[in-house]
Amino acid sequence: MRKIGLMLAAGLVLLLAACSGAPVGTSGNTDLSPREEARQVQDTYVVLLTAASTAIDTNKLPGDVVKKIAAASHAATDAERAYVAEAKKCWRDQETGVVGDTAGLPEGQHCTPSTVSRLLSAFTMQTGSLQGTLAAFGVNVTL
Amino acid sequence: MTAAAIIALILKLAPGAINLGMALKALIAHHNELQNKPNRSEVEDAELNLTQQVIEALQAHIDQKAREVDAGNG
Repeated sequence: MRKIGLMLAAGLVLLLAACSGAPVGTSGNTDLSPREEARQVQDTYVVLLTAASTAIDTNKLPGDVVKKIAAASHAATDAERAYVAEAKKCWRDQETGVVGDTAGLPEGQHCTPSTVSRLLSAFTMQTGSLQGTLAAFGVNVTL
Repeated sequence: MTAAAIIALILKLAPGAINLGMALKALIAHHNELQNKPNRSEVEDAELNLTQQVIEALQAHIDQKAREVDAGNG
């Protein structure tokens, strides 16, 4: 039952994102600003995290497996937080397409695309690790 | 089906998912806010924040399961 609830929640998030005018495209689309790309990355991660949560809830996994999945998801979520926080600093002017600092950033903080890119790579590595952990216990998630 | 009805259904199906329910309520509130945001960056921030709340709720749920294992209830 909880599986259904979590899947409904993930579906609702994707539906609301679609209704709110989120950019259309795939992750890695160069037309997207870092924060626009972060939105799409988040949606993908919701799906992966929902799969992890569902696997734990429904598969009667041994305790040590649950703890391994939890640890892998924790590392991935930490990386996701760091990546999104950095991506939020980067704003794209709708008319010129130029990417720069988001208005209202605290003093000393700036948009640094190279940092965003590095954190995205780190996050991608962690999600790969989470996918690998899930696959090792028979839960294959293709994103 | 209204947003409130969806939340009620989820909470009925997953009565232990209090954090999830709270996240969904916040999500709906944020979504409604989006309709009145004149500034694109504010809209993007709201979208990022509401999705982050769902991620945090899912992570909290997984963490809770790991704690139950530690407590011998897993």
